[in-house]
Amino acid sequence: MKFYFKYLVLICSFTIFCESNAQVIISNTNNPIATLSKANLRNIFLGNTITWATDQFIKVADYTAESKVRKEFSNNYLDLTPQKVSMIWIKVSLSGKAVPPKIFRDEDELKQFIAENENAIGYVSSSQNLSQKLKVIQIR
Amino acid sequence: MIKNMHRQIFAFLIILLVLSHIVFVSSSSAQEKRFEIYGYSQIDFSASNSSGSISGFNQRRINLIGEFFLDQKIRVLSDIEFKGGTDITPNDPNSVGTVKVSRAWMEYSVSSELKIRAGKMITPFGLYNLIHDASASYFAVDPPLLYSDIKLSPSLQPNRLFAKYYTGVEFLGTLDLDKEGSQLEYSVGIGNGRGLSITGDDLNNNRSVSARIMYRPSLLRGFQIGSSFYTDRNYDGIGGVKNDLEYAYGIDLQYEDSEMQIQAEGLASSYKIINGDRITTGISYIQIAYTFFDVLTPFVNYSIVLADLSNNNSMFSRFNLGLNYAISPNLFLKTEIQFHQSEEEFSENSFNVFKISAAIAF
Repeated sequence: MKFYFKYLVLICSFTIFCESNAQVIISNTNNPIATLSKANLRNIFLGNTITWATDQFIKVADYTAESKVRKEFSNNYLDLTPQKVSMIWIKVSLSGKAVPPKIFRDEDELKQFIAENENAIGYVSSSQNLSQKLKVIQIR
Repeated sequence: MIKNMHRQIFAFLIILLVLSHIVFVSSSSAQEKRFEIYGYSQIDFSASNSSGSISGFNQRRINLIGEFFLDQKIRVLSDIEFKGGTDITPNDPNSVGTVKVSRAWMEYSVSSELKIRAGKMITPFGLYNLIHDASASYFAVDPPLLYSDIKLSPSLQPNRLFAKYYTGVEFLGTLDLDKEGSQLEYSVGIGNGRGLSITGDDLNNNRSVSARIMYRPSLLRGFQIGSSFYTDRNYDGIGGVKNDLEYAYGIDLQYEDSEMQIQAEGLASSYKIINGDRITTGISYIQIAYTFFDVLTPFVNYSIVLADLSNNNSMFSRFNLGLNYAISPNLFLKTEIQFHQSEEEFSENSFNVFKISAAIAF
């Protein structure tokens, strides 16, 4: 019994560890969208969906391809490598479909951009230290 | 009196300074939020063993795209292309290269399901036409044969089977079909047909019609299937018949994940030749690419052209073998060998073309 309990604790702690690594999707507090499905999020970050339900153009904020948080986000939500995502965006933007994402080197710059742009969306590694102009979008 | 005048000039300068500061700061901050500029460039080296060919470098193009957001509903896009190391001097016969407006359109977004564009646009046809010149967006040096000028008989000039650009109005949008992420994209355009000038006044009262529909299912991530259509009265005519009513139908498939990309397309084009017969030309290709270590992508492309579907002897094929190396997410080094059959150029011998290219998106 003790043996099984040990493994149960190990599995639970591993699950909690994985959850804590999940990125937090953020937008401007003036954005009326509160929740998105994982499929919606994928379509936004691959340039397949370019406007919000409010019909306003989405401004995607992302990190440089070598960023650790971007690698994790791409793996968790897009099922693609950052390199592949970059190539898809080159195609999307050069075809005239949408403007390429704004690329940032760190989370503070990205937060600042989203705080200043009502229609922006991005992600950070944790929901801590979010300013009042930012909110977390729940992923269903 | 003079003292009073000095005071007035000083006051005027202060007001001017304050006003110019307000105007400058507000306009520059507004532009930062509303104007985007980006583009792409490509430089090639090619060599061939065909008789009379010359090897060398080619500054293929540099395109500057400017996008201006008038508000949340309206955007304007311009795409200026400098091709072949542009160096143009008026009345100078030694001028080289071209500079042209590849795209110039304005878009009004009614909703995500309906957008209306007007201006000079790229014809929405197949997997590549919208990105045909943007080499950084695909693995090969050149887009597939289907998007090139092809010589279909010894007496005909090389020609494309549908218009690369058109000027007119386009309706386009994306429909979300379910909550799992299935989407349907469409575009329908009406414009001037091919002629001496596609951007100015039309040469006749006939219009071109282009349409594309593309389905992206949620059940198979990375897969998409599309179909395209184009018709116009071609002023020059693919078969040499003036103002010929021509049609092109296309179907395309693509599967893409982190490592693999598979593309296949087929096109049938119908046009008249000088003796009055109507010919149908068919072109198809399959391209398979696989990415190793996230940056190194070998690919193969096999294209078949049947210049006249009713005549099996009119068939030729081309095989391309290449390698794409992503130096950075936006900079690509490509190399490719194209194996041309003699029938493709109606020449006596088959020949090969070697190309190496650097492409960047910025």
